[in-house]
Amino acid sequence: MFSYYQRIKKLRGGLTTDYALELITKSKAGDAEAFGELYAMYSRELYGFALYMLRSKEDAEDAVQDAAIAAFRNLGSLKKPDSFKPWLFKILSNRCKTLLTGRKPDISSAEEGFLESLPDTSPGIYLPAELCQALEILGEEERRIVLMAVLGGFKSREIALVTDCPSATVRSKLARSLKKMRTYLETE
Amino acid sequence: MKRQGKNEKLVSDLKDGLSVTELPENLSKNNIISAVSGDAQAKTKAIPLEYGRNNRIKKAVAVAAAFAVVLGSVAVAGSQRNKPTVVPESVKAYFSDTTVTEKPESSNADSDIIEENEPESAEKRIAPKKINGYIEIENLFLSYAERIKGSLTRYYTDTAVVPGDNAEAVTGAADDSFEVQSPESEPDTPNDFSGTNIQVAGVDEADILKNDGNYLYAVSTSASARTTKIRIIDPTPDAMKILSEFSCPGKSVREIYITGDTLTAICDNGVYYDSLSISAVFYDISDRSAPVKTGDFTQQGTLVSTRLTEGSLIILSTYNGYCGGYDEQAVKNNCVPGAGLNGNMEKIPTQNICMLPDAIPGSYLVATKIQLSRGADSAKTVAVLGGGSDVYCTKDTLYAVRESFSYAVPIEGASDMLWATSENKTQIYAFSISGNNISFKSSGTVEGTALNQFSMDEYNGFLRIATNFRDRKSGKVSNIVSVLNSSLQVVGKLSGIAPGETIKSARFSGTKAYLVTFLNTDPLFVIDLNTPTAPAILGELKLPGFSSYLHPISDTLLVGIGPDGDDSGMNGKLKVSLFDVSNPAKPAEVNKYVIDGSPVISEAYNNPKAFVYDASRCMLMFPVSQYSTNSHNSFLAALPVDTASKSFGTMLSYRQLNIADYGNILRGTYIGDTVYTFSQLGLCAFDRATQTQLSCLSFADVTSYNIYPATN
Repeated sequence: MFSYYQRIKKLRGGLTTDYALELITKSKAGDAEAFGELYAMYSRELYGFALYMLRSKEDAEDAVQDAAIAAFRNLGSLKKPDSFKPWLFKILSNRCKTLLTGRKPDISSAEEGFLESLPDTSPGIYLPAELCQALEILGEEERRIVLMAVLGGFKSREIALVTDCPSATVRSKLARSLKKMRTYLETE
Repeated sequence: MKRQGKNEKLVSDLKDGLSVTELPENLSKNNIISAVSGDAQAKTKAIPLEYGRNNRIKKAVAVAAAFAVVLGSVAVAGSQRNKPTVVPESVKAYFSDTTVTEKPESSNADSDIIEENEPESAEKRIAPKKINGYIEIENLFLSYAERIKGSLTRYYTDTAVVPGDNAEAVTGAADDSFEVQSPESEPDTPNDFSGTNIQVAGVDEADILKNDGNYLYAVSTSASARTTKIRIIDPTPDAMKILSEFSCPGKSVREIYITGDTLTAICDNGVYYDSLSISAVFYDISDRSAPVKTGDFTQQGTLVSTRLTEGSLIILSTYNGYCGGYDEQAVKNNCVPGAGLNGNMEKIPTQNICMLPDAIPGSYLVATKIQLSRGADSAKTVAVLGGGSDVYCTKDTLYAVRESFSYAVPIEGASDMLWATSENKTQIYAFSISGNNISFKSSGTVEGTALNQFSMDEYNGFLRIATNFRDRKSGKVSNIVSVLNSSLQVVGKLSGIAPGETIKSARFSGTKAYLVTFLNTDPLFVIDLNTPTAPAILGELKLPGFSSYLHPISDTLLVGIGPDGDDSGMNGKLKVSLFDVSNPAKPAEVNKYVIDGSPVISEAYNNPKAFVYDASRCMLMFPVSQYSTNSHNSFLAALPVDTASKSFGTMLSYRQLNIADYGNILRGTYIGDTVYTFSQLGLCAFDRATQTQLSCLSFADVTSYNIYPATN
């Protein structure tokens, strides 16, 4: 309904830069290069999110790759370009959910302590051990919200869109999760 | 609040710790490009490929069940492409906790938000309402807060605007140090250069590249510092030089204006993502190598648009007055937008605020007029409860439109990100901006949704607006041209234009309107507006593809630029059409020029500022970008029009060398016989006739784009 031009105006000050909009437009037209650029803007956040959610490097890579392909494939159905980032995260988040629920119990237990080992085994990751432990104590949903807020830089209303729960709930869950982590860190 | 402080420390530690600085090779950009473009070698999973219409790559990827739910719902939304959707205010809310100092209401007695000499009796017209004190606004917002209690909350950090966040000294903001000369009056300015492609003569529009005939002024985003920079460039063709470069601390520059020796930067405060206020920052650039900041003005809200006319800057923003949450004090603190000099914002006095009876507590449209000759302190700000999205501005009147909505409801079965209005209507607000003042004039409503600023036009005191209308009950789409009088009552209406199609471009020219709609082919409609009360279709021309921008080059010739197409839709080519409308009953495409090859996109498709018409040379200029998996090609096209033979000449192309990625040309401009191309990476000068690159200025710090705000 809105032209690209109008969208820019609507969205300036919103979520998406002109450049990102241009890339979204091109990607919608099937331009893989443009999509690559678009992806590159978010790739680190996506990978970080998947990594800390799934606690497995292999699974995280798969999830991000799948999410990227699905996003490219379905970009035409993205109505509001300023929702691109939450939309992308929603795809990834759901992919992670699927992987997590599909996991056999023994695998998830085998990943125990995974986060703590990360900084030693992965270049580019410097999460202090105590923060790893603090993240570990969170439930899946709590961790999802904390990662979205911190890593993705999303506002609670955006997290609400991704996680399908009211933003009030997101906010209280986030506050609770952060408090939980803080309490853990303070008593440590 | 104290707890939030503690959380902030944790959040910032987490931010540092969680950030991933290196990606696994599998997830590198190139690998993903290969994966999505079907270069299966790089991808471990086989992806069957098919190329569909419009070169859209379709893939069949097996997705797990839960995954498909999301995509499924999005796909539903996609099929409702033409449905007008808005995000309800409740979802739009960005939460601000900005403390605005309350100004004694009596201190601003010269306000005149409502013109007293309101004209003729208007039966159905909505009369604006005067407000008796902030308490009235507060109560409105508080009752709203009560109503939606539970559906909104505040976020754990406060994204407050930090007023006065400018390290640099501000000089002379309060005196009359502005020395404004209009570019035309400057003695040694050559006339042969291109300015920004504006809609209304005499009403300038801001842009990322400005050309005053002597210098070029460019705005680019620096990735390394994550800031925007303004550069003043000496455009000497074979020796271009950056005379000065500067950024506005704490702000990101959107666009600029040049008026003589004043540079006005329109900025977001903070980074775009969290920006809750906008500023106009003024620089004295009489010494182009040493610009001096002379003042700034800030108003709350996100930028809608700006204009510069008759030496005055008009700034429009929408401010969301509902801070979310239902904390009484927070609601009260935020329900009135603020504005002021040098970051010191004060609540807009109630006399300058207008509430329409049907207003929903939420967005305000905030409009400011600043006389550049008198400096930033001449700013006068008014606000109307009700947001805006597009602006049309004449020298006397500013029109802002927004889609109006009753309470929004989610589209059944669609993703929760999509919302629909219950009625497809557009609210129009008119502000009088003549003389030294700005005041709210009137408001009105038309059916449908306007495409952009070119959908509006004022002629002989009548506002004409072209809208796309979707009947929400039947789902049927058609187009409407409405004619409104000065008090914004609809006096004439032509509805049912091109049923099933949507407007792709509109242009008004005197008593005629040209409308391009599109489904599979591109009908160009010529509409007669000679009798405001009885608009009528004069003629129609059906063509493949569509023009997304129309530019009148004479009374009888019209240029259209847009994607080319065949009977099945668009074909990835670019088409420039020359329409002869001398016989309005029989508009004809008398010539066309098609740019072929890899899929073509032009910045000018949707941003008229990227389009240049050089009337003295009868030359069109527009950027062209061509993409394929392995190549990327961007150039500025110059296409001569022979108005006598009604045909295009041979296209010239100016191709930036040595500029690899991100080198998409965004603007082209010229001074005399030198043509300049501007991309985010730099500026290149070309000889007009030989198309040879004379010199190139690369903006070295622009290496890649990062749309994220710096974490601090």
